[in-house]
Amino acid sequence: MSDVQRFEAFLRAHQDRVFATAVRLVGRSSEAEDIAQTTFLRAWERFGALCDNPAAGGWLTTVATNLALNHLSRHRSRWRLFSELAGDDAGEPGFDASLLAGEPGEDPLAAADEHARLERALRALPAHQRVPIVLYHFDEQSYEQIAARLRVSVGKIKTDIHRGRLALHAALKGTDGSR
Amino acid sequence: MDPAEHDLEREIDKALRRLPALRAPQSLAPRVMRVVMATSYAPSETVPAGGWRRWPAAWQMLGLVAACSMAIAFGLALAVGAEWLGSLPAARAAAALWQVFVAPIAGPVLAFTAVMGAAGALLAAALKHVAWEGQEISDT
Repeated sequence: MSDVQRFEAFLRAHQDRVFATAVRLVGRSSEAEDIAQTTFLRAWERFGALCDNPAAGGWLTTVATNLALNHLSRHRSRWRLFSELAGDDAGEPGFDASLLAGEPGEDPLAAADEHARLERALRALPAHQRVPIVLYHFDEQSYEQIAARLRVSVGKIKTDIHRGRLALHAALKGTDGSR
Repeated sequence: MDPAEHDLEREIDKALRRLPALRAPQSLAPRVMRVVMATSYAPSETVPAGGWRRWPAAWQMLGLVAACSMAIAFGLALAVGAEWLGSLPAARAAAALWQVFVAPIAGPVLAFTAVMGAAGALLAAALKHVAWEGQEISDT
Protein backbone atom coordinates (compact mmCIF):
# COMPACT_ATOMS: atom_id res chain seq x y z
CA MET A 1 0.00 0.00 0.00
CA SER A 2 1.43 3.39 -1.00
CA ASP A 3 1.79 6.35 1.36
CA VAL A 4 -1.09 8.13 -0.38
CA GLN A 5 -3.40 5.13 0.10
CA ARG A 6 -2.38 4.78 3.73
CA PHE A 7 -3.00 8.50 4.23
CA GLU A 8 -6.45 8.23 2.73
CA ALA A 9 -7.32 5.44 5.15
CA PHE A 10 -5.90 7.53 8.00
CA LEU A 11 -7.96 10.53 6.85
CA ARG A 12 -11.19 8.53 6.68
CA ALA A 13 -10.55 7.07 10.13
CA HIS A 14 -10.10 10.47 11.78
CA GLN A 15 -12.13 12.91 9.68
CA ASP A 16 -15.30 12.84 11.83
CA ARG A 17 -13.41 13.60 15.00
CA VAL A 18 -11.41 16.45 13.45
CA PHE A 19 -14.47 17.96 11.79
CA ALA A 20 -16.54 17.71 15.00
CA THR A 21 -13.80 19.46 16.99
CA ALA A 22 -13.61 22.28 14.47
CA VAL A 23 -17.32 22.76 13.86
CA ARG A 24 -18.20 22.88 17.55
CA LEU A 25 -15.58 25.57 18.09
CA VAL A 26 -16.16 27.77 15.05
CA GLY A 27 -19.88 27.04 14.70
CA ARG A 28 -19.98 26.95 10.91
CA SER A 29 -19.61 23.88 8.70
CA SER A 30 -17.86 25.60 5.80
CA GLU A 31 -15.19 27.12 8.04
CA ALA A 32 -14.83 23.87 9.96
CA GLU A 33 -14.23 22.02 6.69
CA ASP A 34 -11.42 24.44 5.81
CA ILE A 35 -9.88 23.92 9.25
CA ALA A 36 -10.19 20.15 8.93
CA GLN A 37 -8.51 20.30 5.51
CA THR A 38 -5.61 22.35 6.88
CA THR A 39 -5.28 19.95 9.81
CA PHE A 40 -5.01 16.96 7.49
CA LEU A 41 -2.52 18.70 5.21
CA ARG A 42 -0.35 19.35 8.29
CA ALA A 43 -0.74 15.67 9.13
CA TRP A 44 0.34 14.71 5.61
CA GLU A 45 3.52 16.76 6.02
CA ARG A 46 4.32 14.69 9.13
CA PHE A 47 2.71 11.46 8.02
CA GLY A 48 5.96 9.51 8.40
CA ALA A 49 5.82 10.11 12.14
CA LEU A 50 2.03 10.00 12.56
CA CYS A 51 0.85 7.01 10.54
CA ASP A 52 1.54 4.32 13.15
CA ASN A 53 1.46 6.59 16.16
CA PRO A 54 -1.32 5.77 18.66
CA ALA A 55 -1.33 9.46 19.72
CA ALA A 56 -2.19 10.63 16.19
CA GLY A 57 -5.86 11.24 17.10
CA GLY A 58 -4.88 13.49 19.98
CA TRP A 59 -2.39 15.33 17.79
CA LEU A 60 -5.07 15.95 15.16
CA THR A 61 -7.53 17.21 17.79
CA THR A 62 -4.93 19.57 19.23
CA VAL A 63 -4.04 20.96 15.81
CA ALA A 64 -7.71 21.37 14.85
CA THR A 65 -8.44 23.11 18.17
CA ASN A 66 -5.51 25.51 17.79
CA LEU A 67 -6.38 26.26 14.17
CA ALA A 68 -10.01 26.91 15.14
CA LEU A 69 -9.01 29.24 18.00
CA ASN A 70 -6.59 31.09 15.74
CA HIS A 71 -9.31 31.36 13.11
CA LEU A 72 -11.73 32.84 15.65
CA SER A 73 -9.14 35.24 17.00
CA ARG A 74 -8.07 36.35 13.50
CA HIS A 75 -11.61 36.94 12.33
CA ARG A 76 -13.00 38.12 15.65
CA SER A 77 -13.99 41.61 14.54
CA ARG A 78 -15.67 40.44 11.35
CA TRP A 79 -17.32 37.54 13.15
CA ARG A 80 -18.68 39.84 15.86
CA LEU A 81 -20.16 42.18 13.29
CA PHE A 82 -21.92 39.36 11.45
CA SER A 83 -23.18 37.69 14.61
CA GLU A 84 -24.60 40.98 15.84
CA LEU A 85 -26.28 41.60 12.50
CA ALA A 86 -27.67 38.10 12.41
CA GLY A 87 -28.83 38.18 16.03
CA ASP A 88 -29.81 34.59 16.55
CA ASP A 89 -28.19 32.48 13.84
CA ALA A 90 -29.78 29.22 14.93
CA GLY A 91 -30.92 28.69 11.41
CA GLU A 92 -27.55 29.24 9.84
CA PRO A 93 -27.22 27.20 6.70
CA GLY A 94 -24.02 25.54 7.90
CA PHE A 95 -25.94 23.32 10.33
CA ASP A 96 -27.19 20.14 8.81
CA ALA A 97 -28.97 17.70 11.14
CA SER A 98 -28.05 14.87 8.79
CA LEU A 99 -24.46 15.30 9.98
CA LEU A 100 -25.54 13.80 13.30
CA ALA A 101 -24.83 10.12 13.54
CA GLY A 102 -27.62 8.08 15.10
CA GLU A 103 -27.32 6.19 18.38
CA PRO A 104 -28.86 2.75 18.87
CA GLY A 105 -31.40 2.17 21.65
CA GLU A 106 -33.04 5.59 21.58
CA ASP A 107 -36.38 6.72 20.23
CA PRO A 108 -34.85 7.88 16.98
CA LEU A 109 -37.23 10.74 16.30
CA ALA A 110 -37.28 12.23 19.80
CA ALA A 111 -33.55 11.76 20.28
CA ALA A 112 -32.72 13.21 16.88
CA ASP A 113 -34.93 16.19 17.62
CA GLU A 114 -33.29 16.81 20.99
CA HIS A 115 -29.79 16.36 19.59
CA ALA A 116 -30.47 18.66 16.68
CA ARG A 117 -31.92 21.29 19.01
CA LEU A 118 -28.93 21.11 21.33
CA GLU A 119 -26.41 21.11 18.50
CA ARG A 120 -28.17 24.07 16.92
CA ALA A 121 -28.29 25.94 20.23
CA LEU A 122 -24.60 25.25 20.78
CA ARG A 123 -23.73 26.71 17.40
CA ALA A 124 -26.01 29.69 17.98
CA LEU A 125 -24.15 30.68 21.14
CA PRO A 126 -21.81 33.64 20.78
CA ALA A 127 -18.20 32.50 20.38
CA HIS A 128 -17.17 33.79 23.80
CA GLN A 129 -19.67 31.35 25.38
CA ARG A 130 -19.45 28.50 22.87
CA VAL A 131 -15.66 28.14 22.87
CA PRO A 132 -15.27 27.82 26.67
CA ILE A 133 -18.22 25.40 26.82
CA VAL A 134 -16.71 23.19 24.12
CA LEU A 135 -13.28 23.26 25.75
CA TYR A 136 -14.81 22.49 29.17
CA HIS A 137 -17.33 19.78 28.26
CA PHE A 138 -15.77 18.12 25.21
CA ASP A 139 -12.05 18.77 25.75
CA GLU A 140 -12.30 18.37 29.55
CA GLN A 141 -10.19 21.41 30.28
CA SER A 142 -10.44 23.22 33.63
CA TYR A 143 -11.64 26.82 34.02
CA GLU A 144 -8.04 27.86 34.70
CA GLN A 145 -6.69 26.11 31.59
CA ILE A 146 -9.37 27.68 29.41
CA ALA A 147 -8.75 31.14 30.89
CA ALA A 148 -5.00 30.81 30.27
CA ARG A 149 -5.56 29.59 26.74
CA LEU A 150 -8.01 32.33 25.81
CA ARG A 151 -6.09 34.98 27.79
CA VAL A 152 -9.06 36.12 29.82
CA SER A 153 -9.84 35.96 33.54
CA VAL A 154 -11.18 32.82 35.23
CA GLY A 155 -14.17 34.85 36.41
CA LYS A 156 -15.11 35.76 32.86
CA ILE A 157 -14.81 32.14 31.75
CA LYS A 158 -17.09 31.00 34.59
CA THR A 159 -19.65 33.68 33.75
CA ASP A 160 -19.59 32.89 30.02
CA ILE A 161 -19.91 29.15 30.63
CA HIS A 162 -22.79 29.72 33.05
CA ARG A 163 -24.66 31.90 30.56
CA GLY A 164 -24.00 29.43 27.78
CA ARG A 165 -25.33 26.58 29.90
CA LEU A 166 -28.48 28.54 30.67
CA ALA A 167 -29.05 29.08 26.95
CA LEU A 168 -28.48 25.37 26.22
CA HIS A 169 -30.80 24.43 29.08
CA ALA A 170 -33.49 26.70 27.64
CA ALA A 171 -33.01 25.11 24.22
CA LEU A 172 -33.31 21.62 25.73
CA LYS A 173 -36.54 22.57 27.49
CA GLY A 174 -37.82 24.21 24.34
CA THR A 175 -38.22 27.59 26.05
CA ASP A 176 -37.28 31.02 24.80
CA GLY A 177 -33.72 31.07 26.05
CA SER A 178 -33.53 34.83 26.28
CA ARG A 179 -31.20 35.96 29.09
CA MET B 1 -20.24 25.59 43.98
CA ASP B 2 -23.90 26.62 44.24
CA PRO B 3 -26.07 23.41 44.11
CA ALA B 4 -28.28 24.83 41.36
CA GLU B 5 -25.18 25.61 39.27
CA HIS B 6 -23.85 22.12 39.99
CA ASP B 7 -27.12 20.54 38.80
CA LEU B 8 -27.09 22.71 35.67
CA GLU B 9 -23.49 21.69 34.92
CA ARG B 10 -24.33 18.00 35.33
CA GLU B 11 -27.43 18.25 33.19
CA ILE B 12 -25.67 20.08 30.36
CA ASP B 13 -22.62 17.84 30.59
CA LYS B 14 -24.83 14.76 30.32
CA ALA B 15 -26.78 16.20 27.39
CA LEU B 16 -23.62 17.23 25.51
CA ARG B 17 -21.98 13.85 26.07
CA ARG B 18 -25.05 12.11 24.68
CA LEU B 19 -24.75 14.06 21.45
CA PRO B 20 -23.95 11.61 18.68
CA ALA B 21 -20.67 11.97 16.83
CA LEU B 22 -20.83 14.47 14.02
CA ARG B 23 -20.07 13.16 10.57
CA ALA B 24 -17.63 15.03 8.40
CA PRO B 25 -19.16 16.17 5.11
CA GLN B 26 -18.63 13.69 2.29
CA SER B 27 -16.75 16.36 0.38
CA LEU B 28 -13.93 16.60 2.95
CA ALA B 29 -11.91 13.49 2.12
CA PRO B 30 -11.96 14.00 -1.70
CA ARG B 31 -11.07 17.65 -1.16
CA VAL B 32 -8.04 16.84 0.99
CA MET B 33 -6.92 14.04 -1.32
CA ARG B 34 -7.14 16.33 -4.35
CA VAL B 35 -4.74 18.75 -2.68
CA VAL B 36 -2.46 15.93 -1.59
CA MET B 37 -2.32 14.51 -5.12
CA ALA B 38 -2.05 17.87 -6.88
CA THR B 39 0.69 19.48 -4.84
CA SER B 40 4.20 18.48 -4.12
CA TYR B 41 3.32 17.60 -0.55
CA ALA B 42 5.22 14.48 0.35
CA PRO B 43 6.15 12.87 3.62
CA SER B 44 9.79 13.79 4.12
CA GLU B 45 11.94 10.70 4.26
CA THR B 46 15.04 11.76 2.34
CA VAL B 47 15.39 15.32 3.63
CA PRO B 48 15.82 15.42 7.38
CA ALA B 49 13.38 17.80 9.11
CA GLY B 50 12.96 19.26 12.54
CA GLY B 51 16.26 21.12 13.03
CA TRP B 52 19.93 20.14 13.01
CA ARG B 53 19.81 18.49 16.42
CA ARG B 54 17.15 16.03 15.23
CA TRP B 55 19.03 15.04 12.05
CA PRO B 56 20.60 11.59 11.84
CA ALA B 57 24.30 11.53 12.82
CA ALA B 58 25.48 11.15 9.21
CA TRP B 59 23.50 14.20 8.13
CA GLN B 60 24.80 16.16 11.10
CA MET B 61 28.42 15.36 10.17
CA LEU B 62 27.81 16.21 6.55
CA GLY B 63 26.20 19.52 7.53
CA LEU B 64 29.10 20.33 9.87
CA VAL B 65 31.73 19.58 7.21
CA ALA B 66 29.83 21.66 4.62
CA ALA B 67 29.52 24.60 7.02
CA CYS B 68 33.25 24.47 7.96
CA SER B 69 34.26 24.23 4.29
CA MET B 70 32.15 27.24 3.43
CA ALA B 71 33.60 29.27 6.32
CA ILE B 72 37.19 28.43 5.31
CA ALA B 73 36.51 29.21 1.64
CA PHE B 74 34.93 32.51 2.60
CA GLY B 75 37.91 33.45 4.81
CA LEU B 76 40.41 32.59 2.05
CA ALA B 77 38.41 34.52 -0.56
CA LEU B 78 38.28 37.53 1.75
CA ALA B 79 42.06 37.51 2.33
CA VAL B 80 42.89 37.10 -1.36
CA GLY B 81 40.30 39.69 -2.38
CA ALA B 82 41.56 42.27 0.14
CA GLU B 83 45.15 41.83 -1.06
CA TRP B 84 44.11 42.18 -4.69
CA LEU B 85 41.90 45.24 -3.98
CA GLY B 86 44.72 46.90 -2.02
CA SER B 87 46.88 46.93 -5.14
CA LEU B 88 44.28 48.90 -7.16
CA PRO B 89 44.49 52.73 -7.18
CA ALA B 90 40.69 53.03 -7.49
CA ALA B 91 40.20 50.90 -4.41
CA ARG B 92 42.71 53.03 -2.46
CA ALA B 93 40.79 56.16 -3.50
CA ALA B 94 37.48 54.59 -2.48
CA ALA B 95 38.96 53.66 0.91
CA ALA B 96 40.12 57.25 1.43
CA LEU B 97 36.68 58.60 0.51
CA TRP B 98 35.09 56.10 2.92
CA GLN B 99 37.37 57.25 5.74
CA VAL B 100 36.62 60.93 5.11
CA PHE B 101 32.90 60.97 4.31
CA VAL B 102 31.20 57.75 5.38
CA ALA B 103 33.04 56.46 8.46
CA PRO B 104 32.23 59.50 10.68
CA ILE B 105 28.47 59.08 10.16
CA ALA B 106 28.30 55.28 9.82
CA GLY B 107 27.91 54.72 13.59
CA PRO B 108 25.04 57.18 14.15
CA VAL B 109 23.27 55.97 10.98
CA LEU B 110 23.47 52.36 12.13
CA ALA B 111 22.23 53.31 15.60
CA PHE B 112 19.34 55.33 14.10
CA THR B 113 18.38 52.40 11.84
CA ALA B 114 18.39 50.00 14.80
CA VAL B 115 16.23 52.36 16.90
CA MET B 116 13.74 52.85 14.05
CA GLY B 117 13.58 49.09 13.44
CA ALA B 118 12.88 48.45 17.13
CA ALA B 119 10.22 51.19 17.18
CA GLY B 120 8.58 49.68 14.07
CA ALA B 121 8.53 46.22 15.66
CA LEU B 122 6.99 47.64 18.85
CA LEU B 123 4.35 49.48 16.86
CA ALA B 124 3.50 46.33 14.88
CA ALA B 125 3.19 44.30 18.11
CA ALA B 126 0.93 46.97 19.64
CA LEU B 127 -1.27 47.07 16.52
CA LYS B 128 -1.52 43.28 16.51
CA HIS B 129 -2.49 43.32 20.18
CA VAL B 130 -5.18 45.94 19.62
CA ALA B 131 -6.53 44.37 16.44
CA TRP B 132 -6.45 40.70 17.49
CA GLU B 133 -6.61 41.13 21.25
CA GLY B 134 -3.59 38.93 21.82
CA GLN B 135 -1.16 36.67 20.10
CA GLU B 136 -1.85 33.64 17.99
CA ILE B 137 -1.60 30.19 19.44
CA SER B 138 0.94 27.86 17.92
CA ASP B 139 -0.91 25.48 15.63
CA THR B 140 0.84 22.33 16.74
